Amino acid sequence: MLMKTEYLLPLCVLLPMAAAPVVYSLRRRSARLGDGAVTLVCLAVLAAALYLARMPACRLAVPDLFLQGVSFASGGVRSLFGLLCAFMFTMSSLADPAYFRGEPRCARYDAFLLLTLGGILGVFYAGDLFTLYICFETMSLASWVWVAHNETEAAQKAADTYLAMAMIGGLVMLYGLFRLQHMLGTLDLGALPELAAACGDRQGLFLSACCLLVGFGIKAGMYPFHVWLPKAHPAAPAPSSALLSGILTKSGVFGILLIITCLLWGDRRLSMILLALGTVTMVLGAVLAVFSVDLKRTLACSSLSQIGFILVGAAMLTTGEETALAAGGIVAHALNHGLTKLVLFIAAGVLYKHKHTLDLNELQGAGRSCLPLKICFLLGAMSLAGVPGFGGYVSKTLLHESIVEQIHLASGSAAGLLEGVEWAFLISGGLTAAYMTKLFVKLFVQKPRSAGHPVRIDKGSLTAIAPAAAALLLMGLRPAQTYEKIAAFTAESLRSAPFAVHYFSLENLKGAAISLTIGALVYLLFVRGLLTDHRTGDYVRATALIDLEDDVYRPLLGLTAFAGAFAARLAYSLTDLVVRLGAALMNYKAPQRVKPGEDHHFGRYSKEYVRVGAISQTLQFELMLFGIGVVVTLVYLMFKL
Amino acid sequence: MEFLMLFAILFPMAAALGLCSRRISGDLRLLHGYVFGAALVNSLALLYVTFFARLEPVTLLHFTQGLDVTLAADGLSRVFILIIAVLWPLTTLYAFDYMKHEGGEPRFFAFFLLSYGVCSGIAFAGNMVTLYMFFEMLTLATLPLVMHKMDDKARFAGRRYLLYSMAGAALGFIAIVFSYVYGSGGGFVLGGTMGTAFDAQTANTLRVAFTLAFFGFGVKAALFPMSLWLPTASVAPTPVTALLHAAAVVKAGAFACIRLTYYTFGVELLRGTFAQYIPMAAAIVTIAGGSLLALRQNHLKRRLAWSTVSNLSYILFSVTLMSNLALKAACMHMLAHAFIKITLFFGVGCILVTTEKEYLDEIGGLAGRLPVTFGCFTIASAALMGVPPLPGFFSKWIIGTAAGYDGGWLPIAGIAALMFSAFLTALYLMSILSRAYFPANGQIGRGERLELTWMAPVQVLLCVLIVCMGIFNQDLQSCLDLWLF
Repeated sequence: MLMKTEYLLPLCVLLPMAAAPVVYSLRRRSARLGDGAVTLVCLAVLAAALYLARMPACRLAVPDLFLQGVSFASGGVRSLFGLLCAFMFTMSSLADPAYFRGEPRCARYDAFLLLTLGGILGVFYAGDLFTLYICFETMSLASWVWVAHNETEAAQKAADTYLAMAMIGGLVMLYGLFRLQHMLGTLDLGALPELAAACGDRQGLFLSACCLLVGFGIKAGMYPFHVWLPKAHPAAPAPSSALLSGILTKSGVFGILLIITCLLWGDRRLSMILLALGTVTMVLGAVLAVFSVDLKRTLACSSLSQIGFILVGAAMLTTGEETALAAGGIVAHALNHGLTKLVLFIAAGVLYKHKHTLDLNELQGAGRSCLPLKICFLLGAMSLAGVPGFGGYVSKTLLHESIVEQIHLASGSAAGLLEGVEWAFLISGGLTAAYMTKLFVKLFVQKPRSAGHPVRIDKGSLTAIAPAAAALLLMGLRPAQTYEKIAAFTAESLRSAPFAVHYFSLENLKGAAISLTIGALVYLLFVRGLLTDHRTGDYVRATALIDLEDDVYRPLLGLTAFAGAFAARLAYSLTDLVVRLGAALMNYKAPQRVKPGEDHHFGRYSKEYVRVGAISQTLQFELMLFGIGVVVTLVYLMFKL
Repeated sequence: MEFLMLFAILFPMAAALGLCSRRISGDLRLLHGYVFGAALVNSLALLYVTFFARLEPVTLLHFTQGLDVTLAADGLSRVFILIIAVLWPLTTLYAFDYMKHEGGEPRFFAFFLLSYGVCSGIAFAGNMVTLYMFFEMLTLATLPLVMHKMDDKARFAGRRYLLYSMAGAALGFIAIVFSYVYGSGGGFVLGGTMGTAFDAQTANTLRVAFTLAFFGFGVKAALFPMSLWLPTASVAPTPVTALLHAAAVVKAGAFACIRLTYYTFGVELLRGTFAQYIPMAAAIVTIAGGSLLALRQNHLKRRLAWSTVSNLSYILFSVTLMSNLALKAACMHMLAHAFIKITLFFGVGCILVTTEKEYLDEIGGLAGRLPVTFGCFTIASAALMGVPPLPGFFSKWIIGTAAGYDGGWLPIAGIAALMFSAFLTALYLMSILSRAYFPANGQIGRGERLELTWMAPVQVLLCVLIVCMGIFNQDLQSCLDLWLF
């Protein structure tokens, strides 16, 4: 063995970052060469990630780097997320050449793609929170370029929002890290669980963890920090939308899992917060997706909703009791969601490339004639909707079961609350089915308005999405051999145990049946009934009652800026007042023009005697007075001797 | 070479007498050549005699036993001679342009040369009697210069100047008496001529005498409470205000205070007593008060005159700290302030003579028409404010250091006053510059350049000297160490 396994960890992070400038110059020279290089780097990273996942967990610390020292670790959920990440980047890079054909500034995109890859792998493979923070910020900044890439007005605004949220999140997180470092003395993830459990200052620990939660929650798209997500994902190019939705949000989820397992294991308050915010995110995302008439926006809102599902699972995990199903559900759903969004977004990119629009009404029937695309999209949609036999069904069943389990454990009002959550869960699942049906029917079933070039899918994009779509179906058919193995692989890192579930039992099928029934009803009655203009067959564009960003955050920010500036002006004008007061005092009755004293007589020769008023005005008199004074002083001094 | 000391005193006086001749004073070009030649020759003689010759004290006259007129040159003389020997010829050049504006040149230049001789005498004075003699002569020789215009305002200023100076000299006379009665009465020695073997009462009497004499000589250095004559004297022609009332006469006052403190009474006798603290308190009050009043003045020359009052007390404050470092600091600031303040006055005089403007609110935008003048004014302002690496910074730094070493509460208050004054210095100088460069109407004055033949080069030369003094400050300091101790 020439190389130890742990050296692969920093390699995974540094290789893409180091390759970024090389790829930049290559891509500027030749499109083929550049795209090839990107795929090659991604493949290398994928191979490394695969190897890391196969080997036992390992860690590597570099003590003297960056003041604090950085460290990396693999194993369990890290390895799985790292592998998923490398896989999605590789697949997405395959779709790049077709999507970016004839577009400007591709070199920039490729370079920042690789930078982000390095950053995000660093997040997953970080051995301590300091390393994680550095990589997290790198990832945030590098992926900002994706959002702004199209340089349209919408993209600019989305990028501004994204950057602002990322910065705020990063700083809040940093504050939390400072607090943790101060309280526990280390940020090493291996040592944190014990130290946190032994920590006496529960309130302080909870607040620090909440700071981290804000940082990670922003990245995950958790309500109420989700505002950037439905704007940023559609604004980015399709391959990067897939990555933003599919894997960047997972870095937030991963962070939240770290908070749960390392800092606040079994903390009821955190559980309640996650449950509340997760439920809101889950329902809100689904409702927004039902109303949306923009293809990528629908998918982005769907991402919100799916993150909500995962957060509800995380809330179940936080309770610290009977966590096996929740842990498995989270991992499985994160995996499914990543793969599904890869398929759906890249499919959306193919359609966009042909029709140059994302409006569902204009895209009507666009994919009808392209069978491979249709099949892949259908597989993705069915998985997302949770149809039995697909991956989505498995993960949702696990999450659902974990809620049911908690209902059994809880009592009284808590049980009632959880039952409410369970219903919200089922309804959200139904809404998922409804909006995916809406998308599929509109894009692939209805007849196109006008005859145009039929959409064709290129080989690269097909290679990118077909394996993921097939995996969703195949893994969904044999959950015990796939999802349970994966769950067992990650169980220890999530402080839970392996499990076995009868997925196709009547009990579990009932949940799916309820969801799908709700979905069918919503689609038939609401989408087809109320949201469709019956004369043209178009979906009605619904206007939002309230936009959290435009109606709350931006005015709040403006108000804060105004208040701050006002206070500062007030404070400074006080100083100014003092200065002015001082100046006024200083120059009170200051002579603007000098009127020098005058003396008409001194040193003047005159023929006749000049009468000089009183004697006291003469120089002689003044000198005489002074002379007397001096003489008196002298006499006094002499006398004293 | 000892005769050269006498030469440096008598030659300008003789040259002044030469101006009685109609042949010389009738022709302006000849007059200029004659005066500048005389000043230059005297400066060369002064510089040669002080820096290249080893001199023994020379006694010229014996009045009675122990009371004699003696000439001698030591390190402190060199500092003072450096100031007058460099500045006198330069001011003469400046005055050629300026006095065309005022008139009465023969009389002016006659007394101007006469004062040069007297100042040399002060520098070479070897004991208290000689110093006192030349000190009185200085008052009389410069009185006609202050009263040059001979209008009622000039008469008023002259009378005030005369009164204050004579009163001061009378107080100074006390010191002579006591130093001769209780001291050896010999020449100046660093550490004093008095010795320390006194009983407590005698020592206290001597301290009272010292305090009175300090205030007496301090009058020429505009020490509180006798500062008022200096701003009043700013009605004199600018070369007089610049050279005599910013450099030579007022520095003679400070010079006499140093002679009195360090070379006659000696710091051993005075340190830690009221004889140290009363003058120090007066100096601190003057530092702050002078700057405050400078800020109040709208009249440019008076503003600078009050600034001089404040800066002279930097020197006197340093003198009253009574340590070797403080002595060096006093000499340093004497040098720095002389060169800086004369440049500032030259600038204001240049404005006055070319545009007839003498108030702050009238000079808006003038920098455009007097670029060289204001350029030099800016550099000198920066130097006075204490912008490193210009000399004002270093001198204030050493003064502050010396005060810090002392460590008493009064010296610390002095440092505070120094800071406060530095802040005000920035205010009262920057307000002049900001008016000149950034006028209220936003228009820098365009039009023909107003600078005159001799004025601009003199100002530039002075600026170069100031900058050199800052850059080679380390060498200057080691020179001072070598000369003084």
